Amino acid sequence: MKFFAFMKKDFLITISYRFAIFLRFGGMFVSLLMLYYIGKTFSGNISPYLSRYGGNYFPYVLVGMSVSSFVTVGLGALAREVRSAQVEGTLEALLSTPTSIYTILIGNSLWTFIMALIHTLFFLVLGVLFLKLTIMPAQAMFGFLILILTFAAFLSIGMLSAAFIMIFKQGNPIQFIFGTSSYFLGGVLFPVEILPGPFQFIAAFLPISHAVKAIRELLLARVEIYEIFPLIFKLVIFIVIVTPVSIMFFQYAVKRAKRDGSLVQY
Amino acid sequence: MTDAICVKNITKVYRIPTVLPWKPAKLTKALQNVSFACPREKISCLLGPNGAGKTTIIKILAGLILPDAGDATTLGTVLSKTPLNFRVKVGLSTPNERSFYWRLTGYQNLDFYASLYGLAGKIKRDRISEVLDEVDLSGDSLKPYRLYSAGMKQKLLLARALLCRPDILLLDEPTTHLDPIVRSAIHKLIRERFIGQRKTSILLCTHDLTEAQELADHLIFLNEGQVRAEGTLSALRAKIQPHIRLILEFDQLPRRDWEKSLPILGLKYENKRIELEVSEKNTIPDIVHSVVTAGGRLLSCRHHEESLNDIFTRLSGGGIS
Repeated sequence: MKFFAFMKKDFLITISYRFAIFLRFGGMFVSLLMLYYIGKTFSGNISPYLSRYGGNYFPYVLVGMSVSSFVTVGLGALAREVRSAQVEGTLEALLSTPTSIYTILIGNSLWTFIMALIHTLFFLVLGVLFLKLTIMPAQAMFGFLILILTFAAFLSIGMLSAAFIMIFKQGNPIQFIFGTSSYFLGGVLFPVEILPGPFQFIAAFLPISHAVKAIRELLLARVEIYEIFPLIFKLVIFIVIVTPVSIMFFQYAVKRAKRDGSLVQY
Repeated sequence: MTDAICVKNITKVYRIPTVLPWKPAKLTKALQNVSFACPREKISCLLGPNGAGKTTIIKILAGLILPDAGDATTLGTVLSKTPLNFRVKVGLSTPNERSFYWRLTGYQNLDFYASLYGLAGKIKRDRISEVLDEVDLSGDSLKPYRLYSAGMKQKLLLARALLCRPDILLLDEPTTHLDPIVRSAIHKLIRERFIGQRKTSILLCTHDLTEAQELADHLIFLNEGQVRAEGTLSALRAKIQPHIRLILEFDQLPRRDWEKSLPILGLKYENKRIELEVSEKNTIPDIVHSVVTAGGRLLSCRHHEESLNDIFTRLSGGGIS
């Protein structure tokens, strides 16, 4: 019920900025066209890395971009919400209600998750309708589950980010480390396999690498679902290990901010 | 009957970082062994100059800051052991107009916060209407919050604090930056609705002496993080002014021996005015009789009481411990 209240609030705020919505969808459409024409430029089995995925760069990069929008949300939403609630002054009011800090954080992030989902769906629907992208419904459903797991994995890292913001207000090493490395090493725009060995080693520890690969295998290489279980297993292991650490660290950050009296300072 | 709020030996020290990171942080004692009690169904006023520690106390009671030592009870329940769900009994109103969402209407803001208090459906709608009526904002509830005047924003802050039907209201500077008419309306609201009808216990923190004098049933003077005095206005006045001070004004002064045989504690002549102190009220008729008998042509006789401003000045200077 409380989560619904957060979503309703954010929905009402979003639709109050109508011009921004128009620009956002316009921007998405332009990015999609750009990816399409880049794909067309490099089509025709130029790269052996793309042959497994149909030889076309457009769907390849579209999947990478879709996953990366969930990574952006998962990684940055909690820290951004803590920061904006500190700056706007709503955090104090929210915390004086019988609502846990976790409900506040996750509730405030839900709308950005939905927006990322709409973003991805918009990409895929336009791709299917106008740009000859083909996706099977069953695989799309399973792909959606992988996106949720990806979001959960990055949400757990995002909680670590939020803990830093809670204490230091600005300056976020987690965002810097995972954000930058995920886009560079995670296989969003190009395959991990073309990177030097040490970079590939680091990429193996990033959840985005496994998520992007799993969705590409599923949607583009059209493998059987059981074949991507090892990749999903790695994502789950990541969530199971990182989430408790993040929660502990965040609890410590809240307690320290309350002790320092800096909970709503910025 | 237990007190609404009972604060026991609360100490809070803030670490203030220095500009140079290698220098150790400064420690500032915001509260030092603060203890006081607020009676039920009364307005207790936490009064003190800026930086006295008033807001720190309010935030500790609201669970937003942890004390370094000491504890507090609200309606007999120990704060440090209070589960999250008990917080619905305490409503908080801080003077932060940014604590609402500016793109939403007043109603939508209350709807969101009501959901966080666990209200839903018809109960939620009825409760929102109830608090909007109470603070006289029903007519403006569908306006975007960003178009609200300062007074309307303050009323919405109070409405939000009432959503949970609190037993205790913590009001931090509830009339700051408001014009006298809106101030007076909010004072009336606090006195007549919150205390008279709802029977809420209120801890109001302010540095506005007029507000405190108008509203407070019980005063707590805080200065430099310490409670300097606590009690009703008459009890505090009695502390700094234990005797009755009378000011007599004359058209013609009485002869100088008029005061002989009267139990007068202090006497001062100033032009055609006499200031004197007595310990008992029942000596006033004798005094009036004596000055008239001694040829004095009395124009007025009034009982001079120390204003809250005088008391505050004396207490802020550490006059009473």
